[in-house]
Amino acid sequence: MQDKPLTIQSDRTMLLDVHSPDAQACRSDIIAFSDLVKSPEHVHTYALSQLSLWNAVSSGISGDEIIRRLGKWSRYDVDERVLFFIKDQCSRYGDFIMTEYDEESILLTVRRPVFSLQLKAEKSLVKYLTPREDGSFLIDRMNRGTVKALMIKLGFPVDDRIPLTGGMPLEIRLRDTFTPRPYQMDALGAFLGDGGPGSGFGTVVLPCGSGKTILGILAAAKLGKRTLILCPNVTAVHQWIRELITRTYLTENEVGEYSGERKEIKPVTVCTYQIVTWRPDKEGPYPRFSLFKEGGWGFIIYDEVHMLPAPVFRVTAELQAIHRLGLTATLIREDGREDEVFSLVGPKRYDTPWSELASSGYIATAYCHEIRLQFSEEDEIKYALASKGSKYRIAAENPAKVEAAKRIIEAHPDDSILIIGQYLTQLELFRNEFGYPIITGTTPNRKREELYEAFRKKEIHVLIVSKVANSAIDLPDASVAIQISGTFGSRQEEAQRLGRILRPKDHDSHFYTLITEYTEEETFAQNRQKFLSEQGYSYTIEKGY
Amino acid sequence: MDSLFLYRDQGNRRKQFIKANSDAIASQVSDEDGMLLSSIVLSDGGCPLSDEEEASLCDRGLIERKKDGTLKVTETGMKAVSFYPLFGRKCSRKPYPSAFFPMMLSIIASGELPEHHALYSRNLSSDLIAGRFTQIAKEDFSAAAVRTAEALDEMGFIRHDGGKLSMDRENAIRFFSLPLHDKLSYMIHPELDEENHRKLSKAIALIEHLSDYSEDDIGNLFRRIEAITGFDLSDDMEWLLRFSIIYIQDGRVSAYDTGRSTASDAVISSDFTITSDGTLKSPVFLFAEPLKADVSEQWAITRTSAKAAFSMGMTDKDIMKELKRISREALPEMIGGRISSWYGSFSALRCMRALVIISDDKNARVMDALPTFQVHVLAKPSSNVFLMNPETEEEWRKILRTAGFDMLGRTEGWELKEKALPPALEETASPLIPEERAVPFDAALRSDMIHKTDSALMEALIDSGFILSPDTEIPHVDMILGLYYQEKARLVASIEGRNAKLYAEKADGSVIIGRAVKSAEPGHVTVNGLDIDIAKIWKAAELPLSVRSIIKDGEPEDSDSL
Repeated sequence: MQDKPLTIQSDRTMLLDVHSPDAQACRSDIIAFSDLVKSPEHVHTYALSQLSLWNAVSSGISGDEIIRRLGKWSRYDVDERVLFFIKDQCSRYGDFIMTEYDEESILLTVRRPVFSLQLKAEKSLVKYLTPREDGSFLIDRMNRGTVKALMIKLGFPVDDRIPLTGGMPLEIRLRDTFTPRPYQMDALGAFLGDGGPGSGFGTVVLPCGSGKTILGILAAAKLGKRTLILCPNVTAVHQWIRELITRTYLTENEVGEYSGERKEIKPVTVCTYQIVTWRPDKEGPYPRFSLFKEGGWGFIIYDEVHMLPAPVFRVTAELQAIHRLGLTATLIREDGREDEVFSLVGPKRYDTPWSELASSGYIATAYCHEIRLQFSEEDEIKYALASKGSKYRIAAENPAKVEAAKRIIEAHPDDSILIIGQYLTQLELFRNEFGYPIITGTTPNRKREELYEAFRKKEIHVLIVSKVANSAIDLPDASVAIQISGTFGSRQEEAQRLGRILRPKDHDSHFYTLITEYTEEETFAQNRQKFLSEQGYSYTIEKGY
Repeated sequence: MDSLFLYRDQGNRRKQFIKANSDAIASQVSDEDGMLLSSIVLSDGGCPLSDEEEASLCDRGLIERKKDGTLKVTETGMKAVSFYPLFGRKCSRKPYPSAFFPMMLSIIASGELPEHHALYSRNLSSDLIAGRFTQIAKEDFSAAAVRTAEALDEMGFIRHDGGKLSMDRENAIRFFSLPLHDKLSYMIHPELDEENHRKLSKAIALIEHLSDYSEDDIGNLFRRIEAITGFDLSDDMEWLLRFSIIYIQDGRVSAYDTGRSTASDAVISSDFTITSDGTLKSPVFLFAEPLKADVSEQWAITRTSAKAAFSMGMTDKDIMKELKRISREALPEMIGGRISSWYGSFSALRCMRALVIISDDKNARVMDALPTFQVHVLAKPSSNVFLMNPETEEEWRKILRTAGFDMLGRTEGWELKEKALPPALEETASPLIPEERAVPFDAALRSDMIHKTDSALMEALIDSGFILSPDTEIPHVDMILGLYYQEKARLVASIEGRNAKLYAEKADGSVIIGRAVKSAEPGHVTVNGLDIDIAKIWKAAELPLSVRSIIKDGEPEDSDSL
């Protein structure tokens, strides 16, 4: 491929030749109106979508400007269908405008009377709309997010001109002990925008280990509002609190933990998804949702937003007047609700290829190894005779993995090593074989903290962990991960596990995944590796060990 | 300037004149005559011409008839040969979805399509498959895809293996290697014999030059193509549309642009995708499955696609060799490892056809001692059972015969019969002529000269391309005055039914030039459908057949009606 760097296809995907001298300039031009789909080593794929175009228009980029930029970088004439799509979608933005009305309601106006009829015809929507004589509608303030999300699904983008004003002010001063990295500042700028309507909410996708927590703290300091931070587990809550105290002049009196152990509500409060979605009975209301409404929050951070539980979607829909930031490394949801994250928390504002941060040294260079192991003759027959449903587990728990792990550990005497697995019996087997400490779901939080701390201090060389350590655990010195089993073909889990060893350090990291060859585990492994392959990570395949 | 010599018997002087005035002659070849010349070239001289057309081109030194009876366009005539205006003027056209056939081959060769027509038709029409061909409307893709499978099946290119369709490697590559027009010829009319395939293939090759052509004139175009190739495409318009050979936009018909669709290399990424900026001249379809066919082409090497490749006899090394050949960048390390591991899985359990020889112990020992025989033994499950390569049966039978086993009977049991392969089409060379004429037609000059002359004969000669510039002399023509009736009648009679034309001028100045046909009425002659009283001809002459026929009215007669 030569000349201009961008190939635009009629299905609105765009291929960027990263070896072109103009690749960086082109990327900067198109990222504002397209989504990064994948970024393997040679050709990155971006896509134009309704949402990406509407977000671009809402941030002040016109359809003509988008077409001009595409024309500038496109290797070939841009397909007329693509041009039509851009013009059509961009012209739709502004057909529906949300503005202030009174304390109870907001006003939804439509550009043409026919749009009013279209909205009335939508059964899912009409219950939230109170029609007015002039064709506009009143919407209960509580339903602002729900209506916006529904309308986006129906192809009606809403130009929400109500500024984010909610929340009590809070001065958060940063300590001068650290310098934000360029991409963190870029992401912050993309998130905050010009401060006007349409900015100050959204999702940022950054690789594991690249400092998403720092970005959250920078955003909180910039906004200067009382802040609620939601995390996937207690360990992550403690990490956030530790970082907040270290990076800012906030005191322990100003930063609270709202978890199973403590129920503090302070100007900055960090809590878990589990604690806010707890309810006494399965059909009843969520009593702790009151936390969202009673803290005077002006900013909510959704850490690991890909794990956002369904009930939180609902409450987030009611929090549209508050600044919202979603943070994740891998926005892949098994339930396919990525779009809802974008419409309720906010659109993807920033995304960067993992390989770029690795080559700049902001995350560790990691080498991935797939170690293919054989069954013993006895296990081979056991596997062959097993039912389809139990085959995967038999392969995953191949006892030959113990010996392979032993050799890997011997090969890395100076590294801090995590052994990560799915099955408790298997993890117990490893503990019994090696005698290393183990963390599983049943390990008390205090004990977990102690072990993580000992691991950080290098008092423990090897730590065996279950899926509780899949994400949101900051272990800066971990440089080797041995994956002995996983949740079938989960790409998300593979990427998050690799993420545990991506904190930059003075030596490279190694991610080993142990596979029983010629079994179902091999097929699942290939699926698991898909996301990382799309990020440019290459697995070496080694036989035995 | 001299006039072009009207009569062929003017020998060398005529030839010299043509050579010296070649560009001027070509500049007075009208677009209509240029299309005739182009048709002659494109048909290798086989395009049928009327006597008058042939004479017109021949007398101007534009064509000549060869000894074998075919027509040849001369050097001068070649200056007026071009695809335009025959197929419309070349303009920016939509790119041809060139990945269609390679990707179809991949889908068929994958061994995943059910063999039952209704089932594979449904599969091929599914969004999953049709959605990969983003440039082609779904209904067109479905029709073309199903037709492709049907035609390949009808031709014997497709195998039916255990309820699934598949192709062997040799057939897949053979079909892939055919030029596009040959492939399409097979798809549109798989039932044709070889000669008619050639004709159809050539017709499609010509259609590929179509550009911005009026939809209303498409019937004329098909007639021209039929004259050139001998194949009438008019009933196949739908297939030309379905297979994305032509498209209609705002009443204009164009062929998709096949010119920019080849790529020499590809980018192979660690996510096992192969991306190329156009169609690869590589049979990646053998080991990769299609992801997307658009301006660029994307494939993915998957466990399933690798299995299909191994089933067709490829090894992991074959695939890697091809990937290295086409890869623009160094191959990601894991590609080789993964493909090798798949090959390991594939090789661990194999199913192959073999013939069984069962012998007694003594003969088994003899056969063991024959080194030339051993190379055909696939496996030997016991001391006196040999699993033999069925493809080399003839060779090892000969070896056994030579070794004295002349009583070896024919192979017993059920015989596997495969459809005979269709004969390979030799590549139908696409005719090479320029898009535009080397010497364009100077219509303005012709029009100007006609406007300035008041001589009907001169006008006819200008219009026939014999007069090349305003200072050209009128060629000498023997005229017979009307007063000499007998001489006049003899001239008319001598022209009647011959390849010549009559120039007849009446006293009122009206002129008619055309072929003379005997009239039913004595003393009359019919020219250009008009009945003429020979007695009323004021001037008469014989003109070559190449002079254009005209009817030109004279001055209106004086009238005293006022």
